[in-house]
Amino acid sequence: MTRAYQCANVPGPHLGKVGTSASVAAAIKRAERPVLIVGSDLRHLDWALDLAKERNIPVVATAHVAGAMREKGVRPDREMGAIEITNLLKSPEWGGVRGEGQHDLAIFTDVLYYLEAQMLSALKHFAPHIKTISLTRGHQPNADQSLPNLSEKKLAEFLAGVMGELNES
Amino acid sequence: MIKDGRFILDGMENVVINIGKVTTEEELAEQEWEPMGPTPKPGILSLRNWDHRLLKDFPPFYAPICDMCCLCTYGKCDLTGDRKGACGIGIEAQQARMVTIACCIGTAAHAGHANHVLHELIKWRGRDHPIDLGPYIDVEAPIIRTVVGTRPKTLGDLEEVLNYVNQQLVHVLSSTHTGQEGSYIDFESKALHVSMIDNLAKEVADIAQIAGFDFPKGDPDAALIDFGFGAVDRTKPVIVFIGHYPAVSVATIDYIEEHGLSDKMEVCGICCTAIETSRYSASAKVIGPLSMQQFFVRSGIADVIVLDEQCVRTDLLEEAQKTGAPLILTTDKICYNLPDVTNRDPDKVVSDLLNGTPGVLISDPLIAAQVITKTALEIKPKRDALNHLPELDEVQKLAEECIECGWCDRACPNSLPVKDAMIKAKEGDFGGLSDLFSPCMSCGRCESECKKDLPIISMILKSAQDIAFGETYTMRAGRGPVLDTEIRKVGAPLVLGEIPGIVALVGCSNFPNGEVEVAKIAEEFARRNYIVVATGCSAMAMAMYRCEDGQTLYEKYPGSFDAGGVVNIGSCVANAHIVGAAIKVAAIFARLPLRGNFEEIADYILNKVGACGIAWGAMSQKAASIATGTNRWGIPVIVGPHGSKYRRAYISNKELSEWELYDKRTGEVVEGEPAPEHLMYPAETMEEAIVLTAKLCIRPSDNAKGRQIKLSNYVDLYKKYMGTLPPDLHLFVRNERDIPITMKDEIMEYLEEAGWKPRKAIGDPSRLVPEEEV
Ligand code: SF4
Ligand code: SF4
Ligand code: SF4
Repeated sequence: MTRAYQCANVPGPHLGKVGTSASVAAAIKRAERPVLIVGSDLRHLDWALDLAKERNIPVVATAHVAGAMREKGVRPDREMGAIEITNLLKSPEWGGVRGEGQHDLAIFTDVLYYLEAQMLSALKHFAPHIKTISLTRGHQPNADQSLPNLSEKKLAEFLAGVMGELNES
Repeated sequence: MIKDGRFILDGMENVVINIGKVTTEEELAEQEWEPMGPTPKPGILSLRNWDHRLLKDFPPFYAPICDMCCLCTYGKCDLTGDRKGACGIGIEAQQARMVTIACCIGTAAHAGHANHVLHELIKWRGRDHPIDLGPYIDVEAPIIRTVVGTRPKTLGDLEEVLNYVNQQLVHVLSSTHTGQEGSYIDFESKALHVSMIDNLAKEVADIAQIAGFDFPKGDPDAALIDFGFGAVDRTKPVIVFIGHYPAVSVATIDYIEEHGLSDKMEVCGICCTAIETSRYSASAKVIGPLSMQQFFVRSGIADVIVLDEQCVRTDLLEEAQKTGAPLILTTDKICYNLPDVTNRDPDKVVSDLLNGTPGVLISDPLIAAQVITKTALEIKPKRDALNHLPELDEVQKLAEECIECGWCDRACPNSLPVKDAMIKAKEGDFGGLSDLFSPCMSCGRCESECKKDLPIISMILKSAQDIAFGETYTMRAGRGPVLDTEIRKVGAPLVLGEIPGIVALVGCSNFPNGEVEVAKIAEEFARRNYIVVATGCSAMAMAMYRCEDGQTLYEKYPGSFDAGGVVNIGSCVANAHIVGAAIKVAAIFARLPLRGNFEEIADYILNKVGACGIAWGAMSQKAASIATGTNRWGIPVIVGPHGSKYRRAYISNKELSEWELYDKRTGEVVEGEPAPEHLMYPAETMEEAIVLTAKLCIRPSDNAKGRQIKLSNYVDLYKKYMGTLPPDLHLFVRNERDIPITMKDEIMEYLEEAGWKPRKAIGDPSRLVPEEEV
């Protein structure tokens, strides 16, 4: 069994799946209103911004990531704390980042691992209306799908694979 | 003579006769110093309405760190989602229950400290020893006055307060038993209640310490203390005290002085005992916050290691033994299965320790002081021959054993790149290991996971020896309470916003990126003329930094509670004085009665005193109760990202919340603003915390000039880190007069785009239902 990247982070009996490039891409394709939450670890910012652009997914920049995005000439759809966006995602009545309705898929990437684990836990327990994917380095058992524990190189390949799958359709 | 319905006999003016009771003049004065408010010695239910109002505006946000409950033998129960345990509890109530338990543990730790120190001091000084906080403090115990409704004058008077503390703690803890409270909101109310009780315990502890040990009484110019490993003269016998309870370190300093040994020994401390000891003697050295604990023990510098209580590593017996330093335990909280030798001949105990007994327990501070000093003097020459850290070539050899499995990185709470550092060290490049010294908390989780049992902490320390042993800093000694005279000066500008806020850096050292971030936060706000106060490990972490001009923060900024001050208030228990300062603004500036008047005071603070706590490295249960107690008084707290593991935050939802306040002047419900927006918030990065702090200092009571100052700081910081104007700026601009003049054009343009409409500032903002509506 794949252990959480931070290896003591064992939440309980209901654990998410270890994703593959194909399964992640399929979930993104299936979603009607996905949202991409980009955090402070900034390991795959370019990849994340490409994904958002390609698939027209609204971007929420947590922490002070909006500054780094602006330096790249990108304006995120929203800038707010990881806990603030999670709190909004919990509320079925929230209208979503673009006012088009609550999201049905939250994709987390590069939020500080253990903070993200907590945010995914909140959604697992209190937001049955939302599926979650974590593309932050290392396995996150609280997400419906997350990465296996990969080296940086393999991780880059995994993410490239996701793009490849998405572009195939 | 008959006065106010009482008999006073001619010639016996000191004696008043009530039916069935004789009251002395003193008792009368006590009865009459202020009329008793509505809630003296509140029970769990007394302030429940206030809690429910707070929890309406700042609802709990839960992020379970464990999906199960294993507190009773029905369990383990799976509470995931909408499942319930065998007792009927759901996941939200269970989170609130765990938070309540954490707050009870934190309160018990402070109350244990308070009980301990008070009873020791009563033994030393007597019950009648006066509580005199000097000529500049009349409101000597603002929390006790407000919660309990008494004014303690002697050490003995504090016992009554502790009786109340102990009783409330029992009631709240009992509610967490299986099959008691089932509502998460009411569990939160209990957590808030017991954490307010924690405030009381801390105030008792620190007032007793100030009175009994003659610590500084709010001195803005308290001494600058030498700080860091480099400050210790290793040619002398070195004693290190670790923990929080200062009776033993104080007794040891006295013993050393009485025996003319002051120049011949080094006394130093880690964690709050370090702060307390330096409050007693400016010659005591401070090693650093808790994060330095294992590094310092591994360094082998200490000839004798003394533990008292709270936040001490529980494996220090084993660690001390590796360095040949005897371990002396001094309280009933930490016994490590060592023999209690309190009643044995001290010289025989010293002899045992010199002959290899690894440690002892001595519960009498005066006897412990004697044993500690004599042992340190005699063991020093023996230990001089020992090497404690591997040499650099040995570090390289150890690194060569590393199999590059990477479990160290995965065990590390901060996911530090230990494996990569090992790979470099194999080639004789120690830069990677050395770089870990600053962000590493010396927690040892990597070592404990390592398949090759590599002494990673020792390897990091050796590789960073130039930084670790070479740097010496300074920290201003903990000054204790804020003076009434200082409050008189800053009260109006604080409430009107012209001093933009009090930023309180408090709590433990479980930092996401090392100590330096706390210092940077402090510097950012001191430069901007906020009042920066600090306690405990954060006050120490702030010392480990030099500003661009080479000065430490304590050298550069004044120690007065005033705009632009950087004020070390003291240890964890001195946190009481930060809440106390906010209470004193209400008492001294607004002239509100404190006595038994919690709600009115907390309402005043929440709506009018721009203060924000930052517990950037909050780790302990004590930090949970400190933060939650601070919240009940209406002061928001930001915790670091590790704080998300407390499982609960109090955050508003500005896109969905209504911000309704009362205007006390008109008695009407009025449109408010998210000021403060959150009450307990885990931030992801230092930059986020800095921007949020500026925002959380905004209050509805700000006048136009004050709001301009606060907004110019918020906007400026937002631009600095995010490169644009804040997206929620329109929520905090009531009318054009609030807009900082130098930013007028760009803000007006933004406001137009946001569809902003001016609104009235609230005359006298409050969250309490006006009396006529009750
Ligand atoms: S000792 Fe340092 S490197 Fe090791 S797990 Fe703890 S913080 Fe990480
Ligand atoms: S756990 Fe030990 S053996 Fe494995 S990479 Fe880390 S230091 Fe090397
Ligand atoms: S969670 Fe805290 S108390 Fe528990 S083992 Fe870890 S450090 Fe110790």
